[in-house]
Amino acid sequence: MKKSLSIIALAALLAACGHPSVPTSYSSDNKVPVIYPDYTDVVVPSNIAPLNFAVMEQGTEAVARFTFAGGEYTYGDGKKILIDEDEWKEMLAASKGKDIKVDVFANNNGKWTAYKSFNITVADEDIDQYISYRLIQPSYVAYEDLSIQQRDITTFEESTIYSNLSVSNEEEGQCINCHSYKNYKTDNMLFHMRQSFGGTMIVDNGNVKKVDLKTDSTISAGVYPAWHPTLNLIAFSTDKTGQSFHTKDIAKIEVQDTQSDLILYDVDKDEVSYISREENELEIFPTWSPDGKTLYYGSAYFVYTGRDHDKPDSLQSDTAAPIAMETEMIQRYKECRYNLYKKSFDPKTRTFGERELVYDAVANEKSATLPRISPDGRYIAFAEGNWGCFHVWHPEADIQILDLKTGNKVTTSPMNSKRSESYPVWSSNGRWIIFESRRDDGNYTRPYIAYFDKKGKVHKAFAVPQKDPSFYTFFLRSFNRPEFMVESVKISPKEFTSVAKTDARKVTFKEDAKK
Amino acid sequence: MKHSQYYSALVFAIIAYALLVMHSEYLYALQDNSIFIGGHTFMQELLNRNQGLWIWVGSYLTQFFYYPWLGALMLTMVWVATHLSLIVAFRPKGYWHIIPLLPVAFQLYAVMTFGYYIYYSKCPGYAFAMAVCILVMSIVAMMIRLAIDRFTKIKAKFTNIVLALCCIIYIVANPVVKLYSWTYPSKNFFAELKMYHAMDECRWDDVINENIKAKEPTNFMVMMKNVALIHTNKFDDMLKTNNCGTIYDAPDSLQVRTSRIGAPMLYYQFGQFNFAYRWAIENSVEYGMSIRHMKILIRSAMYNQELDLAQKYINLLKSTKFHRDWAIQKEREIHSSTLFYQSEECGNVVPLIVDDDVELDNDNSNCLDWIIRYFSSIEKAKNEKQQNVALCFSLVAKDGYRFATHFIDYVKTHPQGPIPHLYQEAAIMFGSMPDEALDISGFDFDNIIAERYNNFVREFYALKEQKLSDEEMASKLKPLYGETYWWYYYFYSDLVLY
Repeated sequence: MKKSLSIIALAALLAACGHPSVPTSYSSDNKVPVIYPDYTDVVVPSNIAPLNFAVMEQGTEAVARFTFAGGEYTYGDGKKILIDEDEWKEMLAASKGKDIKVDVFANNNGKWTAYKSFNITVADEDIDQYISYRLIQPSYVAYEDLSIQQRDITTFEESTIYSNLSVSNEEEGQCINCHSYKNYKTDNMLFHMRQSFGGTMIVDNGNVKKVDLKTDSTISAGVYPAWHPTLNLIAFSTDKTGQSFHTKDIAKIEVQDTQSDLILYDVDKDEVSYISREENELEIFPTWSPDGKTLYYGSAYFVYTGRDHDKPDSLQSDTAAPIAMETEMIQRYKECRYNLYKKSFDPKTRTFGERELVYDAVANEKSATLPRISPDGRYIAFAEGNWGCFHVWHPEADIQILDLKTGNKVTTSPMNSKRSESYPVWSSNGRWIIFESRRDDGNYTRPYIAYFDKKGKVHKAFAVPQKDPSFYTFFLRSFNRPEFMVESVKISPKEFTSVAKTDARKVTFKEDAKK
Repeated sequence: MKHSQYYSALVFAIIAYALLVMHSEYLYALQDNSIFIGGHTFMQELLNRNQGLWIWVGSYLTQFFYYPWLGALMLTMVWVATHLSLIVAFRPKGYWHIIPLLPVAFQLYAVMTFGYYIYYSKCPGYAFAMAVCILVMSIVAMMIRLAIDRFTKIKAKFTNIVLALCCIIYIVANPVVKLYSWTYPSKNFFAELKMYHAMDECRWDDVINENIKAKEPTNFMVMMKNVALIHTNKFDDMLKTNNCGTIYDAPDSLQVRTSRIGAPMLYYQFGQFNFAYRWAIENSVEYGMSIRHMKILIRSAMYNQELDLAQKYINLLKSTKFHRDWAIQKEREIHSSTLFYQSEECGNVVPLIVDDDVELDNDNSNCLDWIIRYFSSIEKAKNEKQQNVALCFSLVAKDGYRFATHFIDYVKTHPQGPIPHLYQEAAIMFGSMPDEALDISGFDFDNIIAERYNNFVREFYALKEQKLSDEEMASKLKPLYGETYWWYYYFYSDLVLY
């Protein structure tokens, strides 16, 4: 009796681990199946993790057949298609520069339907092995547990770089943000901590230190960072940021800077100096060219009048006290639009040249932010919306790419959606762009990747794969600031925590570095 | 005497069950402020937290408070099992058999006195989480005792001491700590729970009656009652239904704010879907997702036409045990605009959506103040319901100028009358003030109301000449004029909005 039970159990185990067979009789539907995440006709890196998906067609059961140069595999687990990792690697290796054909069959009340095949094209190029992001609920003012995570996107391994729960308590919370790396490597990286144990965590050649970047001469501590690719310098914006809430617009929030400048932080000397603080300009989001000789950034021309713009002209008075900058920015938020500029940088003298216009978004009544230069220096990717700087909350915002050589825009519609796209980042080989998108539901930001081929063509974007295809459906946090890394962060969360609990080292302000 | 310890367990079970079931609305609120979502993602989220396993189990069991009798039965059974395990583990003699009763009695006390902390707890399903955790420890103690009994004959005394110490630390200490930090909630707390539940189900008469029953309702209760009056078109009853709210009655250490305990629902009822969504999210971020917030997120997303977002939350709610039907109904409404627009909720809420809306605003965490301010300053009401809300909230805010503007509009749009008594009372009063906000010369008021106002003024000044304090005057005039706007205007000064 025991023996026969063992045999049954073993058979059941083998059946569970095996490949389902495709149905022999079915009707055909000449449309591509609806699957989630949408991996139909996408181009993927040759080292990406398995593209597990769920079949969203009617029915209770689905089978997918993957046909590739080396053969075929079938998968099906209810309506989920869960691909074996080793077999997926085999498929990718055999399909470099080729297609994997996918046939999906769905069973609805005992009747199978075969859908139109789709392809997954495997690019010749790999993608950087790691990405990092902040996990945050799409909240407004409140925050609780935040963490900066790193994910090996060639597998499903995820780990925590730093979690604010290691120092937060019931009374005092800690906000963490703006993780950033030098040249895709993690021996030089940073992130900010605000409120409890506030300061900026700098990893300098593998050593962690905590600095306070606020000086009496600057608006705030450093905010949006950009590591110089070769020198131990970091450009930051300094910003006075506020939030207000839409009563009706589904954009829901406007995050506005009422003041902002750019500063340069010398990591070795713990000194900051101004890069740009032009009158009536709100400078933001610095980023370096790969050769480190040019600094790109966004800037909005905005003149405060002090007038209450909610009052009709007949009620205006010359003797009335000027209204607060914050109030005026709220009243005129649609007028705040950013262009992209650049300044030359001399690494020897560490001085900046005059400002030059790179992209005139304002002329088209648009606002361009979050610029990033491709590793070959030819393209600039950025987010563009109708106004403001925080496009993650702007449904109309899209990723745009400008060819700096020709001055023409690249067609980016394959990577965009009707909902917000923001924060584009190039992979170290320039063939992949990761960005934030709210295309799934409008509110929760997911990391998407698009292929940018050698001819400068953008391909359809796909969601970073997850082991469970329903993960994004049930996960109530946003993926914020996706960044590529070629290696994992070596500092442990514990080490970060112990430094986080120390006092921040005050930086000094150096006036004469400004040109 | 031999079985007396089991009798005590039985007596405890009866008392505990009765106490729990008597507070069925509270039990319902416990599950409403918690959530359990099936699947790996939710489990992983909780398991990553400190004590995550217990929270996960607790959240699962808390769902059963949807039927308070069932949840109460389960919780009582867990406690009885704990008690019996401890009896087996320690085998107390004589009166000492009362000792194993203490941990469960403490738990009962803790659960029954959680009060406003149900909104601020960061441990969803805490009642069951605590109970199951202690039960497991008790069972471990029992197993150890049974093992010791079986395999050793000696050291019983020493073992008992060690076991007793361990259990005191793990079992008694925790509830005792909580006992010190918790105090009894107010009656208004329970009334608020009932009113919220009734409002969620559009049982408007229940909302109104609960407020009338309250001796001194909170301002949150008064606002819920006014929502019920607004949706049942009984504006004229505003001051006849206990409209003088007080501040919440909660432990001093707890700063109860409406933004936490009811803002998402209130904003939703007033057609302010972005603000409803915002506070449901803010509260979920800080104190954990709950059924009630999930429902508001779904409703707000639907009215905002963010259907994919609504579907996301519906998918989550569909995976719960007892709110699946509600979610499926909403899913039907997503796919059928006819169903959606024919729903009672829609009929209540849509007329309150203001067209000429301001674009950016901030309520500074004071929901009641924002709603009153916002609606009393509507420039152009688009329908009668908005007009009435504007008038009523101008009166609540004692803003004669805004009332005057809305009143003139009202009279123009209702040339045939009749003008509600409440508005007549206010118009007569504001019109007779020295710095009159309203010229009432052209209006035709009810003689009885005008006469009554004259009497009120006469009696008011007569009492004033007697040098009575405001409180004494309020008390003397209340029997005759307590439901009039004049009494409200002169004597109610406790509109503390929080």
